[in-house]
Amino acid sequence: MADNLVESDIEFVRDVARLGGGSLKKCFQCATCSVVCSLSSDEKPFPRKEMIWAQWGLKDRLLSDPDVWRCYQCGDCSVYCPRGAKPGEVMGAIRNYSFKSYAFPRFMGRLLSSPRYLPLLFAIPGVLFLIVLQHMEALSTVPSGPIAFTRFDNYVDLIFVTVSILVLLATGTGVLKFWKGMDRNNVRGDGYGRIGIGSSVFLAAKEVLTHNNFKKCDANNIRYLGHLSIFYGFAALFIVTSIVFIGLRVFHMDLPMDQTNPIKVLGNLGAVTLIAGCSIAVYNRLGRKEQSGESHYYDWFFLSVLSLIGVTGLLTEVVRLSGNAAAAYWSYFVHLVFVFSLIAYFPYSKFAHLIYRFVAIVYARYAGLDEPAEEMVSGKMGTKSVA
Amino acid sequence: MLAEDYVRMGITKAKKASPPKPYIENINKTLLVIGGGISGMTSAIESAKAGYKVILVEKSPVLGGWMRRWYRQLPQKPPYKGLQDVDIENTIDEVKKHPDIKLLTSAEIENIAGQPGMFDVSIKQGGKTIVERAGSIVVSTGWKPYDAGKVDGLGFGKYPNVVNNITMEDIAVQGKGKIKRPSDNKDVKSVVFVQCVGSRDKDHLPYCSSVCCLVSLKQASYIRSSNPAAKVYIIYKDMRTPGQYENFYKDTQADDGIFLTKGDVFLLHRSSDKSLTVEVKNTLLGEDISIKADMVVLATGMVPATDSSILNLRYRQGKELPMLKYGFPDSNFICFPYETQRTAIYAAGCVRQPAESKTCKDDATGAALKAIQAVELESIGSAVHPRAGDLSYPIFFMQKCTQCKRCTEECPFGALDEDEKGSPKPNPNRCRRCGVCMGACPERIVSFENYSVDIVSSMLKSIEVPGEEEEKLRILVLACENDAYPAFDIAGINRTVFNPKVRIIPVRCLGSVNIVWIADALSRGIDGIMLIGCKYGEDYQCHFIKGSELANRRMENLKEVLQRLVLEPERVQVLQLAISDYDNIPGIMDDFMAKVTELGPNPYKSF
Repeated sequence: MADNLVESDIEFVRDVARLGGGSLKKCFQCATCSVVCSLSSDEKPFPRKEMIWAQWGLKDRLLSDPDVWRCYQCGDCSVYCPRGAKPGEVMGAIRNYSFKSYAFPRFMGRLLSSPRYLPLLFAIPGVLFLIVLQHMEALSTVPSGPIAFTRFDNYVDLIFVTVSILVLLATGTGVLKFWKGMDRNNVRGDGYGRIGIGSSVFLAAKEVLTHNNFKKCDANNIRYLGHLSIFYGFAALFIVTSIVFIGLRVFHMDLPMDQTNPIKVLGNLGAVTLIAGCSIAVYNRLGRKEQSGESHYYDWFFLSVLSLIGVTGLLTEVVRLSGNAAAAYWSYFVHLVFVFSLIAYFPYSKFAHLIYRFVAIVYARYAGLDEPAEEMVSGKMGTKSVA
Repeated sequence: MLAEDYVRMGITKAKKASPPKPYIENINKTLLVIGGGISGMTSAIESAKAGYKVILVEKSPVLGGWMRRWYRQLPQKPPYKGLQDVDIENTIDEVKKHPDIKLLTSAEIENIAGQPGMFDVSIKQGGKTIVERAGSIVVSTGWKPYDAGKVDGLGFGKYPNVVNNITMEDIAVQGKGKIKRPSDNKDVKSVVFVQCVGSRDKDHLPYCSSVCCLVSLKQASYIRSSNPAAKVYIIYKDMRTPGQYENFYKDTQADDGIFLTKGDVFLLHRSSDKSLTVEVKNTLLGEDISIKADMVVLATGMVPATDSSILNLRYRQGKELPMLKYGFPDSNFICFPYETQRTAIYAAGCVRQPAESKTCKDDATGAALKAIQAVELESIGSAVHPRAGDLSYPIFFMQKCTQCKRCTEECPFGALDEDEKGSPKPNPNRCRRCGVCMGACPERIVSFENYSVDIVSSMLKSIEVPGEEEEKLRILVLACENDAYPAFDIAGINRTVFNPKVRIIPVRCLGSVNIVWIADALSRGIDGIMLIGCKYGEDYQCHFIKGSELANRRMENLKEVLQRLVLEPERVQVLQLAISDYDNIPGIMDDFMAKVTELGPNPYKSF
């Protein structure tokens, strides 16, 4: 049975520690975390088993473990951990490692993993848009006439469409690696494939849209509120942007829209919801550290870009309405830099949790991995059975 | 009635007893320490510092014991993190330089005769025999590693790269910290430690040696610091790091390259590339695993070095210290650390209990203190623990002795030798004044000046027993002074109400209860008798080791006698009571009273 040879990877242990899991080696496997975790089952004591895998540097097992992604880091485990090993944060660190590990091309993963490259990340879209301005001879003179952002559309759309295609390819590559890894390293049980892939996607989408597992987080339920607001605020903005893109390109719609236009209303509501959600998230990370855990650069990069998109977007609209053309155009410029940062770096930043988590939930459903029994998921210690 | 009885008993005792005249001999206060490892040296230094002369006997030519072979040692002081250099040489120097320590290396004990305060010790050194006189003895002969070859499937002795934890230290010392595997002297990149090799296993060593986990953590730590790329795996049964060493565990655990799991190593084999593969099941990783290793270290436990002749005592009951369990010569572990069943001989260090060096030093200091107390108490003719301060000692009325040898066999401390005829030869300084000999003697020739068969007999005879017509029962309780009587005291302090028909007489130990007291009490018309003493058998609590057990055995024999007298054996009950059981006293009394009520009054009342 020498086939189950374990090879510990010391470098992996160090990386996880660097990426926010500095406490992982403190775990002494008492399994308090598994007792309080609603994801844990008798067969799969999560995150107790993941903790020893991490301590042992067993990278393959962790990178192909859907449970790491099914964890919403409610913080229960970290709060109850008698040893200060903070399993919740370690799971977060493993997810951060995954962004880097599944990155294609690889150097992009590295650029997003440390604040050292932050100026470069913002410089790329900055320079790109400056070149557009230069090309349109709008760098030194403010374009005359009514303020209309559509005048840059050809170039802006060209950039974003190109970036989106690349991002889709990169994301697809990462997701494929992830799925294959999960399929290879998880033992196929009886339930494997019982639910079709279509139904699995449907069930996963339902979980994501309703946030119903996230809601069960006890120690950190304020995060649920923040996440829900960000999620739906962002979804609204994404829908509005898509409608406007198609409207412009296909139906030659008139812009800007009237403030009473339902699409505009949805956009504005979305922006406000997003900013509110981000504020809750920032408060949670700064003001409630015990529950939320230490935040890593990955968290701050993603949260900052999201917040700044919301704030600069609203600002651009307000300045445009005030009629100050120069200020409006520059606000728009800044807004676009952040939008670019969000979209172009999607597969490498924490934003990618959207897809990895989704895929993990789909896989869990598809592979028939034990679902937490309904009576066990209230998250309260007293109601859990400890077998 | 109650108060009157107690006053009468008190007066009787005062009348019959006389103040004890101590047995004082010319006491030598020199301490003999056997074994020159860390424990023995610490005992020697501590005693010498306290102003006592010490003779230190070490069988090897050099001092230092096992510790001289260690590469690094565990942290010795707070915060108990990180390794320390081995500082045994300083201790050796201190021993050598101290003017009051007489050091005899390459020396062994030939035999020990005499009694505390006047032990005559023959020491063999280089073909010569030296005779020294000593007052008390600290035995710190240490330990031996358990033979890993006795454990199947681990390849010890078969593969050169499978070593025990002692050899691991040798390898580290030889390489000055660089760890090279024995087969080809290559640097090791992967080492697997297997814990509990033979330990906590009923077929090998049933106990936990408490240090092997720490030793493996220590060795893992120095392997890692000499080679930061090395991977160290520790497969344990339970990680046990007693006391403050939890900090050391936490600290070592934080190392990125040390991988720990619970698990059972069930097979070890060598692959074609000479590396070893360790197969582990029941791991915390949730799967059975195999690990490739350049070297495997088997963490073996400690076996007390009591298998061969150490003391060669000239005692009627045997040459060596009686063992408590697993070859450890300890007495009751909780109540009397360091005590052995031989008065003024104390065990310290790994011969007493498996321990790391810091615990050994604490142990050795404690044992030295006991040894000093012993010579000081003997010098004023007093008993040692647990009857420290007692100046009485057993006096034998030899004219009536029938040489039945009960006393010489039953004495828990081997205090009594025998002459050719089999008469007891008392050694008062070895005696702990428990009175077991007094309880044993069928001729009732053993007595203390303030505690004798006659004194207690007279006391219980002075209890006024209600007549048959009064329909009142009278119960006698003989309570052991060590735990049972204090339990009654606590019950009293707590104003616990218990049956007033009970009369209590304290005894030194249930072992000192002579059957004649039972006969006397019953013939006086007392309706029931309870003997309350300490727990006996496995995990005994008896302060004199065998007293309560002996009492129980004697009462079993008594039952036949009672049946012959047509008395119900249930009238006499032996009971084990811990000092913490004081709350149960009223219940115990009521139960016994109910039983005796059922039996009816003692038929001998009217006689």
